[in-house]
Amino acid sequence: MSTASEPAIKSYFFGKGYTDLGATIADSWRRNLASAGEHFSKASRHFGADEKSQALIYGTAAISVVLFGTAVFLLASAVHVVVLLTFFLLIYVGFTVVYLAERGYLGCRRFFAVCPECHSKNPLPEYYCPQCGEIHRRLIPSSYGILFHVCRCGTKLPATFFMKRGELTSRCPDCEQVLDRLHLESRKAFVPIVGGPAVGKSAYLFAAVQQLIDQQAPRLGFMPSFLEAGTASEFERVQQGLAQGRPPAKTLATLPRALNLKLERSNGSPWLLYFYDPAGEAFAETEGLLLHKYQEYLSGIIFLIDPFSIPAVVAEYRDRLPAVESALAPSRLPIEDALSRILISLEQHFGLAKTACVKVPTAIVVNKLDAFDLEQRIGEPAVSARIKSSTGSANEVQVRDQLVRQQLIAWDQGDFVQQLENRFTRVRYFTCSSLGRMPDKSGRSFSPLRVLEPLMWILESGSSAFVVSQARAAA
Amino acid sequence: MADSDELAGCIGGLFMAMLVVTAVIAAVMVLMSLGTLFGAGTALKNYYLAFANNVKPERATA
Repeated sequence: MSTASEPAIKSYFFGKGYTDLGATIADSWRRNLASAGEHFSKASRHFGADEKSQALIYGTAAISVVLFGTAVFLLASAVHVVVLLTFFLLIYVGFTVVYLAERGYLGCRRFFAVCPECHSKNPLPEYYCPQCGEIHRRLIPSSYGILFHVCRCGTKLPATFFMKRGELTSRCPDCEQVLDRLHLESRKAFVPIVGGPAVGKSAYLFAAVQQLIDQQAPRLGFMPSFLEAGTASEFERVQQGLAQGRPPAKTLATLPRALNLKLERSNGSPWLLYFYDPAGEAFAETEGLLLHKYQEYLSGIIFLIDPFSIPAVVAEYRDRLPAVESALAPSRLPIEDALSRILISLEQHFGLAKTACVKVPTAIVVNKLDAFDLEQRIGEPAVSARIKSSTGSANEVQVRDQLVRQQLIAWDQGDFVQQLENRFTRVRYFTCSSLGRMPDKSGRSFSPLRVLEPLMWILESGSSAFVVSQARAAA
Repeated sequence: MADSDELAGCIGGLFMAMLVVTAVIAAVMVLMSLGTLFGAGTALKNYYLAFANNVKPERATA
């Protein structure tokens, strides 16, 4: 945070009071000397005019001013200093208490500011004065005021969360992007969708968010909406395309703006979900991930796998693949490389030790299951079949994990699985189809398959607000 | 008889001298008190004037 001085008027007892004290003491001392000097000169004049009694009176007055005046001057100066220091101390204690209360409250509610543009995380945004537009970098209880700061233009600005500081327009301290109030005052979840180029990240993101809005949010009692009008119109445009059988355009930005979805409920804090969909090219080299600062505060990771980026799968389907290759658009980046670059980025730039584990839930999602017979082999039909054939009390999640894991190993991705299990503490395997079918020229709508489960698993792992309770389910 | 008259005169003189000394001391004390009040008052007035001239809260510039 910048240390530049605030465009606000500092509390009198923290700044100007001491300049005034020095000036008052000096001025008072000068006046005392002048008073004494005046009486001495009168005494001298009367003494010269042979008016001894008057000379004596003036002389005595002058000595009185020097002796008793100095004593009173010292006493008055001491009282002045004590009053200043007392108020200094009271205000210091006051703003410290309010500041700590605010930090504690924001900490308890897990409120902090995250910029959707540059992804930097800050305890506090910068605020604009609504009158003059000056930037207040530290609008917190401080020596500029306990509950309010007074801008140099004279406008009174709330200096704490409790006084509705969030109603002021704010901006990111790093990239100066204007921030919505909810970028600070909300619970947050951060979910990047990662994977190599053409694994279907954008299609997955739009499909999962659509299902979250349409299906899961109402079930959880949330009212979903997009934070920015631009995002809403872009989302609407992509959804219209998907309804007409047009897949979303390829993401070009390796460091995209987060897609923010607001979830509000009549009771409890609002939630703001941050979804990140960087272009797959960002995973082609570690440097491409350097600016992905959200890696520092992840809620979970959705790692998408295009099975057709695996040589063994390509070999298995080599007879049928050429006919659908352009529709299938296989990813060219090996999944192990994409995973390694994420780990290297976390190690080099985000403080992950070489041998430490990533603790956030990581969903490994095999996409494009609509192709060929993949759904029958590792999709839900295969999971159901295995549960039926198993003798014990097989859990659906465990069976799915086991099935996908085994298949990845069978496809010569044992090193990838091993790296996952060694470096990520909470891994779960999923299968999905972001589009539900291969793109063609029919203009038929896409029907995404099982895209919500990985996202909901991550959200549920972070907060019970995303768990559908029995009461909610019954309602 | 004459001795007792002289003694009375001495005592009377001493008494008068003590009265004068006491009166002078009282006068000096009064003068000193007045001087104290005068010096203190002047200094207080000076401090007040200096305070009024120099102590002003910072004002907004616009």
